[in-house]
Amino acid sequence: MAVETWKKKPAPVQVLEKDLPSSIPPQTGLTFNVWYNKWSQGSSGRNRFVSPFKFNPDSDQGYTKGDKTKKTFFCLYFTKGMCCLGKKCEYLHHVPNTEDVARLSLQSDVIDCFGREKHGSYREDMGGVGSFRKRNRTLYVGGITGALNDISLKPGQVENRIRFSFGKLGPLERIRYVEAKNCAFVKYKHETHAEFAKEAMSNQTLLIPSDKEWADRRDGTGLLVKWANDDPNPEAQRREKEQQEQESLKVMLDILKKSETAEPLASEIDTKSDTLTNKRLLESADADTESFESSIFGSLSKNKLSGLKKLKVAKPTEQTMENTLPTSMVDYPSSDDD
Amino acid sequence: MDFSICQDCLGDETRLTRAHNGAECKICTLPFTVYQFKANSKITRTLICHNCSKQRNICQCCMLDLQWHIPIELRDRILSSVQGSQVATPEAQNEMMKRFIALKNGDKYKVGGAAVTSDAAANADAIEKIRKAVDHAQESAGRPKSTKTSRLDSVSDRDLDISHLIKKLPLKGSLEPATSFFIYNLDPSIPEWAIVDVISELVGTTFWQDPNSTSIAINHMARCGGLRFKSMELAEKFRLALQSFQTPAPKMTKGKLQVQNSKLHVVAWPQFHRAALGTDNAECLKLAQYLDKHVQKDLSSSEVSKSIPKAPKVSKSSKTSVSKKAKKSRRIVDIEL
Repeated sequence: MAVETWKKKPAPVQVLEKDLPSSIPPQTGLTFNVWYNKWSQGSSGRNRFVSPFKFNPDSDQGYTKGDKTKKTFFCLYFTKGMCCLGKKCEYLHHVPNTEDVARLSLQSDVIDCFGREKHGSYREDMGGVGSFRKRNRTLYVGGITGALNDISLKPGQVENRIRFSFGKLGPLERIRYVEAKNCAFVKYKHETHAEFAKEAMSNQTLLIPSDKEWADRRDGTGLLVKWANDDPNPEAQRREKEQQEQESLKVMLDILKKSETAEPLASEIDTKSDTLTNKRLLESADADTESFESSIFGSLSKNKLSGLKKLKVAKPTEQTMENTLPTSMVDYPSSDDD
Repeated sequence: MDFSICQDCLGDETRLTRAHNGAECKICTLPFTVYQFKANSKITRTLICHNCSKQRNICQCCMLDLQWHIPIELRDRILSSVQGSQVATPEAQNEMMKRFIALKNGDKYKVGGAAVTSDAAANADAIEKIRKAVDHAQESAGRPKSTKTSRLDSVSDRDLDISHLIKKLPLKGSLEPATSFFIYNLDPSIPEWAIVDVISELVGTTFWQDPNSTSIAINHMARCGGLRFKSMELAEKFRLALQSFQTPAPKMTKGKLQVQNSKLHVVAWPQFHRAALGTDNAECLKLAQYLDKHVQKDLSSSEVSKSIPKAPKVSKSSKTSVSKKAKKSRRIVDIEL
């Protein structure tokens, strides 16, 4: 794969700082909630809008400070097309590529590609950051009529526009436009791309400059991009299941590999009776306290702690001590005692 | 000391900051003692309470299983496939129920697969079972799998007129110089990016995003798609890189594009028209059926052409091939395993 063009140029400033809108949204209620940055009480007016900024994958990408410091997270403002820092931004300014996906997947599923914590369950409207319980690669795209300012297009044209704008934000797996419901489902190769595209396309218009309504695009309401639920189509479910089976087979192989490397380690530990190791112990059957057996990992931290306490003790002396007292393995206090 | 954080999250960090009742647990919504630390040059904090993590045997930071280092859902799926019984970690939706479950002591009460991975004996047992399952799977992978393709479900045979679509499709066409191509015989399980990857490798363009090279539109429902190159040069490169085959009945050359396990058929489509791929459900399904028949025709004729030169050599093998063909003739699947 050739070097992507964005790596050669600095990220441009998308918006000047003075052009940014006030951080306080226009008053729609009686009191301002400083924690949620929202107006509350009173009749909340129209809260759907078309964002005045738009991320342009062709011109906005570039390297930033974040590339030098090996940051893994993307700039949320950049994704929305409103980062005023340009190359001085601490976060990444480009569309996630395979390297980024690999780096992000090394981290946990709990944090999305912008570094935000995910939640236990989806929001009721399936918007927001999403859930850590499920790797969701599919986005629901709604509000298409509003995003087109009510101009009528053929279904093929609508799908083309969706494909055009979403396809630039990551490798697509499939797109399905449901004409009857006037919504679309966009599935990406990785969850990271879906997260990125969700932020980039929320509240955007589907109009293109050659439309005559282009000038009035802000009169419409933007796209609603949300997380999708599982596809109820039996065909799709079968496909999903097959993929899951393949994935679990791969993971099973990994587990076996890991357990094979862990087992000789454990036996080695047994012979040396070296309790102080930072490696995770796979407990052999002779660990006898019941609470201990029931949760090895309740005691992991304990293990760690005892390791920390004895850090100052020189290693050789500790080994001899261990050798003279072979029973020291047995009296682990359970982690709940303290 | 009451936290369980996996080695990958904690690293060799020894300093943690504790905040009593610092946050709401993301699973049980009760306040819990938050630990914060800086490992691998980034700040991490615990997100769920210790009791919840013990009940599920997961790390408080990354929420992966402490033993196997995989997500809970995946762990339960593996265990239920290995043990033959349904293992699941049900999560309460209701706030009261979440708190009620959180009351149970995590040392004794384990949810779903946690009972296995937190217990050394059961864990060793499970690993043994996994080993068997993997061996079995590898064995069966060696044998040629029964060629299963996603069958077209019998669409309600309403008389739906799709002639206006077929008119626009180059079904009679062959592989000849053009900037756009029609792709069919597409298994719906093939993702779009796989096709794009294969094409960009053939043509030598940089990557999927390259706006100057290709645009592709796939309709998985109708099992076909269109492909358009910006320049004739690229299109020629693509055309020459394709494998081609002959369909003798009406003598024609068609391209074959190998993506994953199946071969897509490619023909030139000078009048690329997205709408011809079908729009609504019924139309797409009908089109898929029609194309399926077309593919059968393509393949059966090419099969005949292959078997004819074979026939005079060994009479016995020709017989078997004929009998095989008779079996096959019901449905020929162009899949390489």
